[in-house]
Amino acid sequence: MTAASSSLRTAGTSFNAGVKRQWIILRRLPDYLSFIAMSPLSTIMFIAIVRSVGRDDLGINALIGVSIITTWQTGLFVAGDTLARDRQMGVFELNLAAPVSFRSMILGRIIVAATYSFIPFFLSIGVARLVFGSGVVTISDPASMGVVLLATWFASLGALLMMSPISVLSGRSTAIFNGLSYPLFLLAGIVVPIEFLPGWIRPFSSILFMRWSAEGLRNGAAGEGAIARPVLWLILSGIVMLAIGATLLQVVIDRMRSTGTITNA
Amino acid sequence: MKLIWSLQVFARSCTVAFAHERMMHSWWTWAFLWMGRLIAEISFFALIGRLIGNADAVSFLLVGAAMLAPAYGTMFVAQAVRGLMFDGLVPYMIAAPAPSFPAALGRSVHWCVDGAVAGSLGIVIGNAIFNLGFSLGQMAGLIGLVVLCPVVMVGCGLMVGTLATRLPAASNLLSGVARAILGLFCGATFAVDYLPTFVRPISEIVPLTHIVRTARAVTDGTPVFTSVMLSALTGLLWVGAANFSIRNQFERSRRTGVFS
Amino acid sequence: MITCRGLRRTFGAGEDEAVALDGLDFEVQRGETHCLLGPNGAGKTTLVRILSTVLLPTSGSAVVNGFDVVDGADDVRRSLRISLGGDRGFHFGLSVFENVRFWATMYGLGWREATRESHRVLDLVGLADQKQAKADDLSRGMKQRVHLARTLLGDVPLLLLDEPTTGMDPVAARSFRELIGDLQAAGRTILLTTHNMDEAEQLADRITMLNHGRVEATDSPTALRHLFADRTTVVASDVADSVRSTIVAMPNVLAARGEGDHVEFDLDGDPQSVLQALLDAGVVQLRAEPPSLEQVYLQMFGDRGMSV
Repeated sequence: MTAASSSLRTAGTSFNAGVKRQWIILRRLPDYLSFIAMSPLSTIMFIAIVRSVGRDDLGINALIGVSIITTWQTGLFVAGDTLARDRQMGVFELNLAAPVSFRSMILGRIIVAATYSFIPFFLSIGVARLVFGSGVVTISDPASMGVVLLATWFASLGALLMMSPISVLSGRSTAIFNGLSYPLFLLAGIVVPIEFLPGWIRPFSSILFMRWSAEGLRNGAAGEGAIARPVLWLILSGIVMLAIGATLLQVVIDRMRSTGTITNA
Repeated sequence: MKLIWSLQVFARSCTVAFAHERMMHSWWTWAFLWMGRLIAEISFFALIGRLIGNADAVSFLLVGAAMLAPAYGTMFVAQAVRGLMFDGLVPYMIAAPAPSFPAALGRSVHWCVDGAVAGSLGIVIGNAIFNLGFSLGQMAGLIGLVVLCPVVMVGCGLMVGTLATRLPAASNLLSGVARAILGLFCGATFAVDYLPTFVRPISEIVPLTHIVRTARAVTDGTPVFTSVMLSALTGLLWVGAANFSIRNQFERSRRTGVFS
Repeated sequence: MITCRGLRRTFGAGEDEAVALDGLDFEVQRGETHCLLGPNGAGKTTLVRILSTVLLPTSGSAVVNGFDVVDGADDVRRSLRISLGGDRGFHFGLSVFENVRFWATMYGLGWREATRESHRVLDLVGLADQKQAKADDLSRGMKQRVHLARTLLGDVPLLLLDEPTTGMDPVAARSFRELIGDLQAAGRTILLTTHNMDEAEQLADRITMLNHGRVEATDSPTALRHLFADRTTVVASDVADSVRSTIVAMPNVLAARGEGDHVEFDLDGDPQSVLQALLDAGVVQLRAEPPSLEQVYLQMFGDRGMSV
């Protein structure tokens, strides 16, 4: 067996172990259903905000916005909290002594978290139709929306991987992740398009994958073509974030191997 | 005497709350991430008002979201009550002669203070950014309500907290759902009248509904007395219920031997 | 100070029911230091918890300082302090001093008095230099001291200490014993559980052996050592290995510990033959004494092995 195939096998085993561990944690703790349980109520609230003042036309903005909010919050909470718990319990130190690929294991866990986080997305659409009727969500181009959704999943995978070193290293990751919510939602124009923001802020919006996700999904729902640019940006930002995440994780691993611990980080 | 003792227990317990805050946040994560996040949430809703396209909607959503911030804070009490069990403190609290209610209350006060600070800043900043034209009197009234809000809402939070002690693995879930219910049912984000009739009685028993109603009266320049009194009355009822619930929970622990 | 009659406590129900205390009769006199001994699962902690009102009895009665633990729980709570030991029971994130002061207020000490008293008790348990340390950063032994400091707050007649020296280093454990001596001299009633026989023997006026939620024996340490009157321990010095083997082979020798300079032989029945055999082998430094408390304990519970 060559060294390359051996390390590939280790990576595969570690990835599987990561997927399994994440799935077991998710099944055991009802707390991880938080944002999923909140998503129907949040969906009704956001759509009611615009419909109660007669702006039924903005229903789709509200729906797409709330879907992105709950998806991002679920992903960040599920990935961040499970990793933070393992950090507290010293699980990562144990990995130092085990013949595993740390990065592959984290990637396995992040993939489960990212996929799981899309449950509230579909739940929001279902609840919106159920409560406000099918008229509230007219999806003119489901295929385009599907493509944007897939690209969003890829980008959120990159974003979560990029965040994972924070969970592994910092005891204050919960506080940090908490902060990475509404400021980003505001900046990315997920409900209110960025045209409503001051001009000097808009360039910052463009580096956020959520901005392209919201724009692509809105365009897809309206059937107004123009999803190529958002999809491209989503894939590009996904690749960049995956690369940053993988590099940062390697730095974390090197640090763990040299100090033997991460708890004082 | 007992009142003074209760106040002292509450005050000592507040030091626990702020120590927890220091564990969770450095000054910069508190100021920039936590406060930044709370104020961004208020601004986010105000901006939806701008998308809707009229000034009233901006003011409506900004004020509602500012009142929601401290109310959301009180729902984190669930985690604080759960923390009492997790840290193995319940047996000691039972064995101590002091009333346990003020101890549980103080332990979560930082969430309430944070919410009130963010709500107040949200009002001041939002008024300036969105040109809402609130008078000084109106601003003072709204900030007063933002401060009053956690006081009248803390009973609700403690009730959710005692529920969380029954379902310890779901304390985040419970406080999350409770926060979503507040956002939906209390008139902070859209008028209560828009809710189906059968839901409205639920709104009326939540103190936040009356706080928000008072805030609307402040911005509209209409009388506030009735709604303020109703917020205090409903708040008091919830505090009474929470006091009973915590005692009941401790008695349950004494019966079952389950303390964490 | 403490009177229990027919005290019973069960956990669970039906087939899962576990009996922690099984109709226990038990007394502790005012001013007495009373030690509870027994294997894991004997019911020691359950008893301490019931006496401190933390747990309700399933049936029977327990009266502490003249007050019933069920009907007069508030009065009982004013009469005692409790330490349950272990790593938990602190407000994490708070300093040692803030933790103790919090409980001083919970125990009804005035605002300033709580501060004064917290300093006093922390100095007393040797934590003067650790007051500002975070409770969560302390070692197990240090945490035990904080637990102990908390029980010393104010002036209550009864202290309930559940395994107070577990995790303490030998020096700290000795200081603890001296501290208990001071408390005894001050007339406090102390009920403590321990697995340390020397500690029990040194501190206790009386010891209660608990097993399966029942009292196996209650008496002074000296009387307990004479409980097995037919048992003797022969302690001998300078015993050659060959002599040791010969003695161990004798029919009434149950066990032997140590070798060379200090050997202990546990005997069943008259020690005369063993003493004679040792003298014949030239061993002159020897004495016969009643079994140690540890041997009494092993005699009572030794057959349990690792079972609980």
